[in-house]
Amino acid sequence: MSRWWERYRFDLLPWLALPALLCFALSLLGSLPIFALSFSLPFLPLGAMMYWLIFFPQSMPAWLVFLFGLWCDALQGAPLGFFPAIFLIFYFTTMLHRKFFWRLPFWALWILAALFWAAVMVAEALLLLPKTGQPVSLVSIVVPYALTVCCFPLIYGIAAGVHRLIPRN
Amino acid sequence: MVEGRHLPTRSPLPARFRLFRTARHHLLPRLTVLLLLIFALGLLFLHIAGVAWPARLGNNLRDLASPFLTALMRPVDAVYQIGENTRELVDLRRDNQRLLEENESLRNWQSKATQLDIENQQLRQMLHVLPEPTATYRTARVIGEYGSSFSRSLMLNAGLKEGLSKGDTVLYRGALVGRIQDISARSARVLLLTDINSHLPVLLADSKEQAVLAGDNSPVPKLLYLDPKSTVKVGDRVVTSGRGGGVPPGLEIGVVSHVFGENISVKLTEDNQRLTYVTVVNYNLAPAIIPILNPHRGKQEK
Repeated sequence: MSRWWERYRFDLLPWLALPALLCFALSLLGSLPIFALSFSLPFLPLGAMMYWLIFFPQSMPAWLVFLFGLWCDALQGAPLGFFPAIFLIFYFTTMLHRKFFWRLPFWALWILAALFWAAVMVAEALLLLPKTGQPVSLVSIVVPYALTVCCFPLIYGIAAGVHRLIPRN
Repeated sequence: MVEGRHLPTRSPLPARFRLFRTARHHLLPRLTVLLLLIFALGLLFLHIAGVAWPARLGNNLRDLASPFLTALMRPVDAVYQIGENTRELVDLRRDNQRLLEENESLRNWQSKATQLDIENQQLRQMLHVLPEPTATYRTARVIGEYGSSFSRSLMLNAGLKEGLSKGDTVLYRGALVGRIQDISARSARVLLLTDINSHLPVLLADSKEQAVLAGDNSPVPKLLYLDPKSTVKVGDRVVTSGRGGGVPPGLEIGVVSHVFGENISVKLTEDNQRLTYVTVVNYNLAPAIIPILNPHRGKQEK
C-alpha cells in the first residue's frame, strides 16, 4: 500500500503555480507608476485570466479565482467583491460551455474578451453612479478599455507560451 | 497567434494528481463556484453599504502588495534615473546660467522677506493673533498608481508607522496632488484631485470667486457651483480656499483650461508629471467634516 504523499504529484506544483503567478505579476505590473498621472492604465491580467480559465482551468480553481479577484479589487480601488464576482461569473460560464470556447479561433476569443470587458466597464460605471451622483467621464472609461483590449493579444500570447512550458505528463 | 485548438481536450495532468481537481461533471465544483459567487456579491453589498471591515480588508491586501511594488519599482526607477541624468547633463550649462540669475533675484527677495517677517511678528504680537498650528512634513515614495474607472489614486510606501494619517495633504513641488483616503500600517492610498470622489473647495486666485473642484476620473477636473455671473476665463489660477477645513488656503492647484458655459475644466499643475516622491503634510487643521456624535454612545458613556 502506498503512502499518502506518494499518491500526489508534488513535483508538478511549481508548474501549476505558474498561471497564478503570471496573473499576479501582471496585476502588479499594471499598477506601477510608470507613466504620467493623467495616463489611463490597462487591465493587464484579463488576457491571462481568460486563457487559463478556458484552456487550463486546473491551474485556476474557483477559490484561487476568488482570491485573485479580491487582490485586483485592492489594487484597482474597486469595492471589495466586484472583481471576484466578475471572474467567478466568467469561470462559471466557461465551466458550462468549455467545449464551445475551445473550438473558437483566436479572433473570436478577442471579440469575446472585448465584449466581456465592455460589460465590466458598464457595470463599473453603474456601480459608481449611486455613490458619486454624477456620471463618470467617458474618456476615463474608453481609454483604459481600448488599452486593455489592445493588450489582450500580447498577454494571451504570453499565457499560451507559459502553457507550453508546463509538462503534460 | 497561438490558438486554443492545438491544446489537448483533456486535462494534461495525470489522473493521480489531486491537488487542483476540477471534475467538470461533478456537482460539487459548480456548487463551490456558486457559493463563492454569492459570498463575493455579499461582500460587494456590504462594502457599498459602508460596513467597515471590507474596507479594512482591502487596506490590508494593499499592505501585502506594498513590498512587491517597492521591489518592482527599483529597476523602473533605475531606468528612469538614467534618462533623467542624461537630460540633466545635456541641459547643465543652460540650467547653471538660469540658476545664477535666479539666485541673484532670490537674494533680493530674501532681504525683503526677512524685513517683512520681522514686521509681521511685531504686528502679530501687537494684535495678539492666535498662533497657527505647525505643519509636519514627510516624504513618501509612490509605489503604485491606479487608473481604473473606480478610482484615480496613488499608493505610497508609508503608512501609520511612518506617522501619516488619514486626510493628510499630498503635495508635489508645492502643488496639491490629493489627500490620503485609506491608510494602513505600511501603505497609504492617495485620492487624486481627478478622482470622481474628490470634491475640494477652491478659489480663483485673481477674482477671489469660490467654487468646488470636482473630479470625474478624466485628467481635467471640473469647477462646480461657480457664480453664474462669474468672469472666469482660460488661464485663471485656481488655488485652495481653505473652506471646510483640512486643507489650508492658497495651495496651488492649476489653471482654468476650458470654459464652455457652465462646463469649466481645470488643468492641474502636476498633471503630466510622473511622480516618484511626494510630500505628505499634516497641517494639524480641523477635519473637513465633523463627525456626528452618536447620541446612544454618549448615553452609554455617561
